[in-house]
Amino acid sequence: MQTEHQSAAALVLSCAALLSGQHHSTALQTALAYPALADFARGLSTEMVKAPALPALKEQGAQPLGALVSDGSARLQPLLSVAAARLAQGQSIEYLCFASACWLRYSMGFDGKGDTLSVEDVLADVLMQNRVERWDHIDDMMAGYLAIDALFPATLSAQPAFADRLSYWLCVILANGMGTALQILAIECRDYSARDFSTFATHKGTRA
Amino acid sequence: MIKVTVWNECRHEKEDADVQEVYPETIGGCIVDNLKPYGFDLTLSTLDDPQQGWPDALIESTEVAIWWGHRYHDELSDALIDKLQARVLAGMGLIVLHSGHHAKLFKRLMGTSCNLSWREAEGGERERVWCLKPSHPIAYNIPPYLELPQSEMYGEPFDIPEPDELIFNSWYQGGEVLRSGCTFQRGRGRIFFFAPGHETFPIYRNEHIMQILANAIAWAHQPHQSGWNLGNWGRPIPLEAGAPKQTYYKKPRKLMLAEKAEKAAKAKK
Repeated sequence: MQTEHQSAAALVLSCAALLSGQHHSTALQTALAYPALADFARGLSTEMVKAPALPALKEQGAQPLGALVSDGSARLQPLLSVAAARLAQGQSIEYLCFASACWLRYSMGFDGKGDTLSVEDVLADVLMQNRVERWDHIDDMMAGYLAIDALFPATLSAQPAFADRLSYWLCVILANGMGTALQILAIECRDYSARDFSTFATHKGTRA
Repeated sequence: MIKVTVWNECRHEKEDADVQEVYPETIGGCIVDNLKPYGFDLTLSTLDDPQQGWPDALIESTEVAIWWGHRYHDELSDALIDKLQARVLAGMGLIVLHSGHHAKLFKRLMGTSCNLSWREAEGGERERVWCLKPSHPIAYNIPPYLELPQSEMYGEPFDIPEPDELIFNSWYQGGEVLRSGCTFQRGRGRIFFFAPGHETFPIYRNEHIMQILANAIAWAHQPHQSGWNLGNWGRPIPLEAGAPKQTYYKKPRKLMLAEKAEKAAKAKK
C-alpha cells in the first residue's frame, strides 16, 4: 500500500463528504457510513493500482474532514498517474475522473449552500481565477482547468477520454450537488453483470 | 423472511367488553397468531407503545406494515406520518384494513377524503366478497367468493383515487356494494386496502381472509431495495454526441448575492 495513494483517496473522499453536507470536524471514517460515499470509496479502490481498501484508510479515517483537504493539487497526482496508466491499458477511469472532479469542485471555494470553503493549496488562486472568469460556459472552464499543467500533466489532459469523463462528472456534480452526484455515480458505475436471485428465492419461500 | 409489523390501535380492546369477547388476544394479536403459519417475521405494535408503536428502527426495518385503526387516527403525530409516508414511498408495503380507510397515513397517500358510506347494523349483516381477479397474487388460493355472515356495511361512494387494480368487490345484505380490495402504487411502495374486518365480528378468524392478508404481504413486499431512487436527476450531458448540452450552472443563491455585492462595491470605488 502506498501512502500517497491513501492520501489521495482520503483527499477526494473528504472533499466529497464536505460538499455533500458533512461537517468539517466529522472524522472521515464516520463520514464513510453514508452509503453513497462508501460506494464511491469502494469503486475508487477498484480503480487504483495500489488499491487502498477501506480499512487502509484507518489512519486518515480518524482525522477530521477539514484536515484532509489541504494541498489537494499535489496530493491528487498519484491518482492522476493511475488514471494515465489505466487509460494506456484501455481500462475504465470513471471513479478516478469523479475523484478528480471532486477536487476541482472543492477548489471552487463554496459548498452547496453557497458558504465559503477554505482552500489551502499552492494552486488555489489559479483554480479560483479560472472558476470566476470562466464560469459562464462549462467548456471554457474545463479547458482552463485542463490547461493548468501543474495540476494535470499534459500527457493526461491531452487524452480526449480523460477530458471527456472529467468534464462529465464535474457537470453532474454542478447540476445535482454532491449528494445526488454520488448516488448517480453508484447507479451508473455499478456492476450489473452479476446474477443473484437470492432475494427473489426468499420472497417465493414465504408462502405456506 | 419478510419483516412484517402489525400495527393495531388497540384501544377498543381496552375499552369495549364486546371487542374483548371477540378478540381476547386483541385484533392485532389475532392477526399475528393467524399469520404465523405463513412464516413471516412478525412484530406487533400499538398506539400506546413508545413512539406510538413506530420507533425509528422499526420504521426502517419493516418491509410490510399492516394497519388496523379506528377511533384515534388523529392522535398519530404528523411527524410520524411524515416518516411513515416517506418509508412507503421508499418501498415499504402497506396493507390498510377496514376502518383504516380514515387513517391519516392512508389519506395522505391517497390524497382524497377516503370517505365512504357505512352502517353498523345490530348483529351485523351478510357480506359477500367477490374475487374479481382470480389470477392476481393476492387472490392465490381464494374461492370465487366468500361469505362473511356478520359484517359492517361499507359502501360506495368510496372517495379514493382510481385503484391500480380492483381485486375484490363486496356486496352487502342491505344492497350496497364496495370496492373492498384495491391496490395502489405510491413511489416504490405497494399499498393494498382491504375492507373486511370489523372489531366486533370474528372476521380475522376466517381462513380465507387470513390467506388474503398473507398473499397481500407477499405481494406488497419489495424483493429488493436497490435501483434508482433519486429525486430530480440532472443530466447535463446528453447520451448522444453532438446533442445540445447544459453549459451553464446556477450558483447557490447565497454565493450569487455575495458576488453581486462585491461587484457593486468595486464599481463604486
